[in-house]
Amino acid sequence: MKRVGTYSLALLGFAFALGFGRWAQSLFTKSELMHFSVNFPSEGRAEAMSCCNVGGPWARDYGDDWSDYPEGGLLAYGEEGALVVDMGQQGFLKRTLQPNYISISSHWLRNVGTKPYRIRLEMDMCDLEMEWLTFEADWDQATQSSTRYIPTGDTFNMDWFFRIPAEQRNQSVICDGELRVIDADTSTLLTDLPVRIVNSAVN
Amino acid sequence: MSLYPKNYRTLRPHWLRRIGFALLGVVLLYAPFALLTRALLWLTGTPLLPDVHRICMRMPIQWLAQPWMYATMIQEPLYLGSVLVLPAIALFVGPLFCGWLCPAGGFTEHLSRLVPTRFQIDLSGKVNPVPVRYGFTAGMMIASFIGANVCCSFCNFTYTQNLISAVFGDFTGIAYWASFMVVGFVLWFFVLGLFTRGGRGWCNFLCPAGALQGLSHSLGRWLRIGRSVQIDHSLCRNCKTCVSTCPTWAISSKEDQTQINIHGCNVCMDCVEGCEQQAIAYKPNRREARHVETAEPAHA
Repeated sequence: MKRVGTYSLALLGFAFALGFGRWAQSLFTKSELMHFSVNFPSEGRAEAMSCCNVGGPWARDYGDDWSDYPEGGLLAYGEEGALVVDMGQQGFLKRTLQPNYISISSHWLRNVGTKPYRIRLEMDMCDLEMEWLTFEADWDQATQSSTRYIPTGDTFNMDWFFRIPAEQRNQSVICDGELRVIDADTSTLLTDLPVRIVNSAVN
Repeated sequence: MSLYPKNYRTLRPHWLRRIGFALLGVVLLYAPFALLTRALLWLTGTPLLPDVHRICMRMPIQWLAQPWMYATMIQEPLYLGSVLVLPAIALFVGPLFCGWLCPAGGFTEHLSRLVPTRFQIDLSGKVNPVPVRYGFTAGMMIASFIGANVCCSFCNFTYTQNLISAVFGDFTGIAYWASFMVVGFVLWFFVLGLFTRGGRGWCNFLCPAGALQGLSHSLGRWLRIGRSVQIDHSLCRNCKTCVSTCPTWAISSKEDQTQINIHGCNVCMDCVEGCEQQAIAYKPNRREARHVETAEPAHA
């Protein structure tokens, strides 16, 4: 009897982790704190991607070592070729407490090229009030550029926070914007990723 | 049974020492100080800002079920803290990190003593949290295989870092709230923290880093190496002071025999300090000790 109780408690902890984890991930991937990958440079690239370099707005297949996110051309968290933040799918608590403050995050701005790059980031988002946050030590916010060269295969990270004016929240498409990754030395566009903020609840 | 230790005054100096160590944990691991993290980032040439996330206690545990991530952990050795360093320490001396240095656990435990006991949930002796914690840890490890996210969504280390940053004027962390962060924070700080006896409900039920160390600590006892908190039953009068003292609900008393569940003990040594008969000691895991202590925990 005691053993049954112990296993039941273990099962309870197990179910709690998976249940809450599924709920959190459903919010992660649609509306709240969306995470995504961007590989650069994208010029002329169409190749088999592995679990370690997933992402980037170009066609690809999954490599043999793929074993994580669902198949079908998804970014790490998001849609192929575009990041879509749907305010209409916010959870109850977010919708109640802080609906107009949203965040997107990439911990995987990855250099998949053949040489190191120092990158500049441009986030063109319809003049929305925006904050930048990174845990990179080598970042100059004034020029929105990395102050170190990102070696081949290495990553950079950045979080963005947007404040949506209340009057814009009831639009079906709030912003059709874009993230651009640019070579800070030559000002060459390395890659771009459409970033859309929508509200499906309006429809 | 009183919710508070019967010998509150006796324990006060010990608690002050532990609060001091928890503050040391802040200085070592948490921004804006993060002295240990800074040193490790410098040694490994990692170009990142130092805060508690650099020595992540949760993601590497999830990666234990993902062999393709082992190379990452070896290439970036800061990830080895919770899966190698802390369990190795726990093997020999127990989860001293949990009981003494961890600010996330210490914060809620020490603050919970300020909350009147009539407002607190007392689960000690009623629910054995150890299997729940192992089950939760197993769930977290396989979560990503079924499209679930546990380790980053419900991270009490992040909540602690955000609060500490806010105290020092950086409000970024507490400005943004996702639904799952609200649920996690309320669970950690209020429900299982301030309003649960001992203030360690999150540690007891939901901390995978604690689970791994508890497992390692029990292995040390089984192998008879290292040290652990043990009861000398020839001195014990079964007064239950230690039961009410233990913040992790690891001590139970049944059929006039007091027992320590080594899987739940975080070696805070409140029981050692509080025992008036000096029947409890932190001592080497020898043969006779194992003979006394191998009994199953008395939780139902």
